[in-house]
Amino acid sequence: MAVESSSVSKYDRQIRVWGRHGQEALHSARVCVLGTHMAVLEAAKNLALAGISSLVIVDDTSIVASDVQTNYFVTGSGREYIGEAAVETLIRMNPDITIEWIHADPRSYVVSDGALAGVDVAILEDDATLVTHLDQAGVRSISVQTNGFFGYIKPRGKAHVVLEPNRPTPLDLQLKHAWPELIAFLESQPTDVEEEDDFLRIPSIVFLHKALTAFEQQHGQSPSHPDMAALRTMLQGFHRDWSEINVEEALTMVNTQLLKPATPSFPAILHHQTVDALVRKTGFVFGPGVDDKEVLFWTFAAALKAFMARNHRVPVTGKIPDMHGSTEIYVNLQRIYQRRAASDRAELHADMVQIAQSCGDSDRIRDVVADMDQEILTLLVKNASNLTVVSFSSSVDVDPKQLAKGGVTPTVGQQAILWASSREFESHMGHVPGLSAVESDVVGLSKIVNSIVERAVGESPSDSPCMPSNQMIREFVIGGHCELAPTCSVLGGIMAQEAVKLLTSQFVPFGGQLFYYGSPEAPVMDVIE
Amino acid sequence: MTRTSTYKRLYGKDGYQKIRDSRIFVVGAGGIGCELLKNIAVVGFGHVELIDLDTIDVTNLNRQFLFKRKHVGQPKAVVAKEAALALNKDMTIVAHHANVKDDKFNIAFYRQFNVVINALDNADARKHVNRMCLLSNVPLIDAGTNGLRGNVITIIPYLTECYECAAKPPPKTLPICTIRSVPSKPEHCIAWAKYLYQRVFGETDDTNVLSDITLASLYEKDADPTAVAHALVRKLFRDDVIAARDTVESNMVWSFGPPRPVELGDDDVIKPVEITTLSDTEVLAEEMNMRAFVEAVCVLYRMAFNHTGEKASPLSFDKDEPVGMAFVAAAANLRMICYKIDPITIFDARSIAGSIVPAVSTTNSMVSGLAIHRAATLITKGKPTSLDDPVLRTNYVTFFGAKPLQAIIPLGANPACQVCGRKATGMHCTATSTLGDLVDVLEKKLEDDDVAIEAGGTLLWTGDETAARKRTLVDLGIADSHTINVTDSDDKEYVLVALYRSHGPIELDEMIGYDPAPLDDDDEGLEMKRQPEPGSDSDVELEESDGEIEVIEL
Ligand SMILES: [Zn+2]
Repeated sequence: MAVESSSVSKYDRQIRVWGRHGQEALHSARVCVLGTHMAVLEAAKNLALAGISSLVIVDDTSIVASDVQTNYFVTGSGREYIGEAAVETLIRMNPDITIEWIHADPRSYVVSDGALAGVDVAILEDDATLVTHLDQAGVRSISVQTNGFFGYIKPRGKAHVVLEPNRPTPLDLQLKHAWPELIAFLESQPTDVEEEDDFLRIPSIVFLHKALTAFEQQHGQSPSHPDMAALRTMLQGFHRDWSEINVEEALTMVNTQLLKPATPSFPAILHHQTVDALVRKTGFVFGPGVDDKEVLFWTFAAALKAFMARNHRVPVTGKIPDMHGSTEIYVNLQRIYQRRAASDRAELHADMVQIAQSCGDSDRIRDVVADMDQEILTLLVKNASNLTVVSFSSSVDVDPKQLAKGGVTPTVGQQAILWASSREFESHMGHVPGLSAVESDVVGLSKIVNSIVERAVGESPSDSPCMPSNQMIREFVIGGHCELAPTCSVLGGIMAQEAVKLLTSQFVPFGGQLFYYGSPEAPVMDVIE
Repeated sequence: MTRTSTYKRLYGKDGYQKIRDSRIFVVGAGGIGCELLKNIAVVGFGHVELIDLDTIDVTNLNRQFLFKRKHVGQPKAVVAKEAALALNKDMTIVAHHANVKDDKFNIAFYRQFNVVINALDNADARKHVNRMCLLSNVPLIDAGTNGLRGNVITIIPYLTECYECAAKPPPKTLPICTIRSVPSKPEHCIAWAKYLYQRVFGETDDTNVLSDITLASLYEKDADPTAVAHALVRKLFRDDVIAARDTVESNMVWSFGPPRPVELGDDDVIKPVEITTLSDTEVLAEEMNMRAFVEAVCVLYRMAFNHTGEKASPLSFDKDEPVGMAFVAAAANLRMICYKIDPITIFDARSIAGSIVPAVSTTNSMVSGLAIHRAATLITKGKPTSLDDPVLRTNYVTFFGAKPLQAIIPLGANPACQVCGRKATGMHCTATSTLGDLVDVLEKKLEDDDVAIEAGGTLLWTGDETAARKRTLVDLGIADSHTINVTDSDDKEYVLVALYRSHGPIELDEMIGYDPAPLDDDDEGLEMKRQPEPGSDSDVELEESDGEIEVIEL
C-alpha cells in the first residue's frame, strides 16, 4: 500500500528512520493483540502510533476499580471491559488505522476458524497454551511478562529473514578490486604537482591507490594487517611541507580500505541449505508458509553467491565516503562508482532471473523478481555482506544448565532463574509468588531457587553467579504480578520495536529472551540467546 | 489493588509517601514529555510543573499521544496537563506555556523541586536547564532520543559530569563563498534559499550573507505579488546566473561546467500552483519548481508586507510551515538546476533545511520508563554521594544491535568545566542590600580581606572603592538570579547567584561545587578522557541532532 502524502507529514519523523518503504510495510501490517496486559497495551499503543494497518485486541477481562487508577488505557472510559476501553483510547491516538476489540477469551479465540488468518505478528502476555498454538499456526509472536520491577520479552516462531540489517559498515572503495575505468581515472591524477593548492585538490583515494599498487609491485601480493606500518610510511611519503589534510585523511583510511582481506569470505548465510538448494536447481520449491519477502531474500542470496564466486568480491554500492579535495574530481569518482554499481546490479538481477528460470519454483520467483524495483535491489546490495537470518528458540524457559556454563551477565542469569522458579512455584502452589503472604512466599520461592540452581551447577548453589540474592528474591515476591507503569513503558517500547523489525524486515531483532530488572538501584537488561 | 496499594507495596510505605510528597519539573511536553507525564500521573507523584513553548503540529501526532488532530495549534503544555489530570486527579499540575529561559524560572523556582527531568530536543535549552540545576543544586535527569537511539543521564551537581563538562564537537560549517557563488551540493543551495527567505521576508539583518541582493520591486506601494514573484525568478535564476557564468575569474571553479539560466523571457507568465498539491516525495521538474516558487512568494508576500510596500510583519522560517518550506525547496531546486546539481524532493529538502531529528514512539516509551524509574529512585533513596552508586549509571538505548540497553558508570564532574568547575552559592539579599554588606559577608565567609567582585563584565570592587560600598546591588544592575563573580587573593573564583527576598540581612548559602581549580590545570582537565558512547552499533548514518549548520567566513 502506498503512503499517502497527508500521512507522510504525520509519520515524517519516523519515515526518517525506516524510510518510505518501511512505512509502507507497516501500512499493510496486521497485528493481533491477545490479552490486555499493560505492557502489551503499551506495545499496541506504539504500533498504532507507528501507523500499522490494523490492530485487533482479543480479551474478555472486565474492568475492576483498581484498573481505573493504575491502567492508563482504562482511566475515564466508563466502560465495562478493558479491551473495549483500550480500543477507544487507541483510536483516539490514531484515528487513521483500523482498531477493533473482539470480546473473547484469547485461548478460545485462537483455535476458532480463520482467527489468525493474515496476522503478521501477535503480541501477548506470555502464556504456554497460547504461544504453542501460535507456533503451530505459523504466526510469529512476541510475548511479555512483568512482575513489578521485573519483566521479560520472548519472541517465537519461524526464522526471520532480515533484508536490511542496516548494520553500520564503512563504505568500501574496493580498491583491491579496482576495475579498468577506476584505475585509468586514478592513474590520470598526478600527485607531483607544483602548487600546494593543486596538491590539496587531490582526493585521498588517489594516494591510497598509489600506495596499494606500489606495495603490490614490491611484495607481489596484497597487504594484510601486519603491513599497516609499511603502508602508512608510504602514504606519509606524500606529505610535502606540512600535514596536508588529504594525505592525513588517506592515513585514517588504511585499515578500512586497504587491509581488509582481498577475497571476503562468504557471509555465513550463503552456505545456508536454502541457498544451496536454489543454486543446485534440484526442482526446489518454496513451501506455502514462505512469504514473498523470504523468496526475495533467498533468491538474492543465491544470486549473490553466484556473483561472489565469479567476481571474488561483494557488489559495489555506488556510495563513496566524503573526501577532501576537488569537487570536480569527487563528482567524477562518484559517477565511476555509480556506473560500476549499476552494472553489478544488472549482473545480480540477471542471476536472479536465471535462478527463476532454472529452479522448480520458477513462477513464484519470477513474480517476486519482476516486482523488485531498483530501489529495493540497491538496498539489498547495500546490505549484501550483512544478510541475516534470525531464529527464535521455542523453549519455555532458559535452561539453567546453559546459565551455569557462564557467558551470561550474572544479574540476567539470576532473573532467568527467578522466572523459572516462579513457574515451578506456581505449579506447586496454584498461585504466583507474592499473591498470598509475602514472608512465606519468600521462603517458598527461595527453596525452589536453591534447588534449581543446585540441579544446574551441582553442590554449593550459593557460590554460583546465577544465584539471586535474598533481596532480589524478596523484591520478586513483592512484585506479585503487578503491572508497574515504568516497567511496562520500557518493555512495551522494546516489544513494539521488535515487532517493527519483523514487519519491515529492517534492523536485526533478538532471537533469545530479553530480561529486564528495574532494580531500585539501576535498571539491568540483557538478552540470553 | 488501587494505585496507592500497588505502588506502596513496590516502593514501600515510606518510599511511596516520598513519591506522593515530591515535586518534579518536566521541561518539554513533546514525545518524551508525553510519555513522562503519563507515567508520572499513573505512578502518582505529588506535584508536577510542565513547561513547553511550542504549540502542537501535525508531525507530532505519530508519538505525542496525549495530543489529537483537533489539538493542532494549541499549546502543548496546556493540553498535556489536561490529559494527565484526567488520569490522576490527586496530583497537582502547573502548565507553563513559556520559554524555560524566562527570568521567572529562577534559582528559587528550581529549588522547590526534588528532581528536574529534561525532555528536550535541542542543545541550547539543555544547557540552560543544566546550569540552573547546578546553581540550585537540584538533580537533573536528561532523557533524550534520536531515532532508534536514546539515553538517560543523571546529573548530580558537582558529582557527576554535567551537560557541559565535555567539549562538544563543533557544528558543521559551510563556507560562505560556496553558498553565494559556487554551489556543488544540495546543502549549499538549501542554505542559500534559507538566507533568501530571511532576506526577502524576514527581519532586516545585515549579517545575512545575501544582504547585498537588491530587491527594489518588493518595496513599491501596491505592488502586485505575482509581478514581484516573476521579477524574483528572472533576477535570481536568469540574470544573476548569466552574470555569474560570464564572470571570467570564476570560469575554472564550476564543478559541473558553467551554470545555465532558467528558460524564461521577459514576458513569459508562470502559472502559480497550489502548494498543497505538490508532491512531498517526488522530485519536481524545473517548471513545477518555478510555479511553486511564484505561488509561495505571493502567499508569503501578502503575509509579510502591507500595501505601502513596508515589511510590517516579518516572517521567520519554520521547516514545518508548508509555504515557507515550499519557497525554500523550490528556490533551492531552481538554483540546483541552474548549477547542474540534481534537484531533490521537498521531503529531503526539509531534512536538510530543518536539521530534523528523527523520532519514534518506541524509543520515547523506553527512555521515559527508565527516566521515571530513575526519578522514583532518587526521590525514595535520596541524593547519591558516590559516582559508583548504580542509580547514576548512564543508560544508552539502541535498537540497532542485540543489546537494547547499556548501563555505563558516568564520569565525575570535570574540574576544568566552565559551568560546574568552580564553587557557587546562592546569595540571599534584599532590595536595600549594599555592595558593602556583600563585601563584609564575603570577607568573613572566605576569611580573606582581598576579594574582587565583578558582575556582567564590570569590576565592582577591588578593595579601595569606599564610595561604592553604599550603593545597593539593585543600583549596580544585579537582578534576581543574576550571577556575580568573586575572585579571592589566591585567584580562586566563585560564583554567587542573587536570590532576592523581602527582608533579612545579606546571607550566603554553603558554597557548593569544586574547590576552584588553579588556572594552569585547565588544559589537563580538558584533555581528561571522556567516556565514548558505547557500542559501534550506534554509529549508524542518521541526521545530526546538534542543531543548525553554521556558516564560516573563508
Ligand atoms: Zn560541568
